[in-house]
Amino acid sequence: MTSRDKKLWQEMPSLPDFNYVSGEVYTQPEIFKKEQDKIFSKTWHFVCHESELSKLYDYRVYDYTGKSIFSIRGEDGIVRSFFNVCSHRGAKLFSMPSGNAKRIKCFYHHWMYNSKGACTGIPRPSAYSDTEVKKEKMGLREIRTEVYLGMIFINLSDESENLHSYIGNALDDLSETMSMQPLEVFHYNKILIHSNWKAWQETNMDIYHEFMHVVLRKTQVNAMPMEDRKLSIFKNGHGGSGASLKASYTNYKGFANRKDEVGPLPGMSVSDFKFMNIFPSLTIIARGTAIRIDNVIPLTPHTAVIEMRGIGVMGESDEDRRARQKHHNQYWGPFGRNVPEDIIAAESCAESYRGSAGKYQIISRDEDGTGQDDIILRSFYSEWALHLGINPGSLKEIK
Amino acid sequence: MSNEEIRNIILLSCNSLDDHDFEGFLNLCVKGFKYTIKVFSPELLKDMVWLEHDYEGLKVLFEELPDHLQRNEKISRQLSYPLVETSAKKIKVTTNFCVYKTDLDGKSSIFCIGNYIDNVCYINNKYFLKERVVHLETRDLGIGLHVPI
Repeated sequence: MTSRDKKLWQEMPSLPDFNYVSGEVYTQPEIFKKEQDKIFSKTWHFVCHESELSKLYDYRVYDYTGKSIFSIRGEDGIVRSFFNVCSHRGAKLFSMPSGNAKRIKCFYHHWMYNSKGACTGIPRPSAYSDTEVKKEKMGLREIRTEVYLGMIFINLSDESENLHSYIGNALDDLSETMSMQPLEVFHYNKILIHSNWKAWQETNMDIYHEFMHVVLRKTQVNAMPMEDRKLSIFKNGHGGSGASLKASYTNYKGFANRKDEVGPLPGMSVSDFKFMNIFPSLTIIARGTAIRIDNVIPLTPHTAVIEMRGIGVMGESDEDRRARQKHHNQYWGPFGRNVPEDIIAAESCAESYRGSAGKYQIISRDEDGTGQDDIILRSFYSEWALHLGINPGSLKEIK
Repeated sequence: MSNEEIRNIILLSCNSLDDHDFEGFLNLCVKGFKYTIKVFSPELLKDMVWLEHDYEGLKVLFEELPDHLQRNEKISRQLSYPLVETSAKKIKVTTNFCVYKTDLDGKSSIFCIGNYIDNVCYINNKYFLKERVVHLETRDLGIGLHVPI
């Protein structure tokens, strides 16, 4: 028999735990809710690059777990984050996605705050004189904020481990590239995808899908022996390849001149390629001359927003910036060769699982941590299971 | 010189892209043609470049397209009446556009809006595109597009 009937189709694969995933992890509202409570409310979440807050009082506003939040560089140079909510009646303090504000004034009743989140002004306060409503007690809700390699993260939990401990050694191989020169964001866009957030994140962890992209088939699959690739996993579910993979750009006609157009980033050659996923939803990809940081933010079980950033060297010449932008856009821009194809894949899988036509996905490729091993996906789902207490294949509770 | 002929170049260029007649599109361009898509980011408070090609770069891009994974959606460019401004140095044409996509179920939706700033030249009694700068208003392009707007 080559096809499977209903019973066979629904049978769990005869594979070890974490080598397959039920389609229901992408669709069940209860699982989505648990992810919000047990993962996204407790792990570190990348919000922006420090170059986006380069001056005192620069701020950036963003949404996370359904909440509007802003990060601001205070008068002491420290970046802090707060709910974008006035303590008085809940109006949003900032409506623009970015800007500079020495004083933060709520548009509604003109309550004032400073960049450290303290309430500094309440118009006509005497009406509150017999109550607890005093400036000293009406500060903004602050959110833990830490910086790593120029990347600003927040954590909604006050109890979770600190960011450096959370990341551990996962970004060691990108450290030189991301810290030897000041970097800045030159590209930003958001994309609403019709897919569960994990289906997107899988495109960043599943190196086997190189075959889908003609660019990768031509430049990457045969650029180095598969067995020389080294994929790595780290504590807390992080994983990728910090030991450089190689790309032969001359094999794709439009990319042939890359090596002559701009110098590589520190710690890399033009043909090097590194990527690292920071659990649960952040990916950093460095391709010799440019860096992409992408971040997926769940909205519903069936929708998510991807934030894409392109990173270059601060203060570089116009010519270098233009080349770096070009290299970034070739792969990762909205008119690029790869990202549109990845979104098609994520949305295609999501459609199958939404209708329950897709039952299980297989993540059991074993190449001893080389080649196109699924080790990063298995590590991700092992971590996911630790947080949710659910086996992602059987959906049974883990004792 | 005829403004109507100038406007026809803009319309023909969009019809060619709609029809995936890329050779036809390039035939409307001079060899020194430059194409750029620019977008302002309110997050970064600066202009971004999302695509930049010269004539040869576009030619290669078009040649590679058949090998790429694309969603089967029909893209249709709807244009405003092109505004032609002629000076001694150049012919500038400004055209607002709205690009629709129609999926395989026949459902149409807006893909993006923006405008073209075209620089047109007159060579041997014919008009050609010398430069096109696309200013996009839309920043969430969904799955994006492998073809220039």
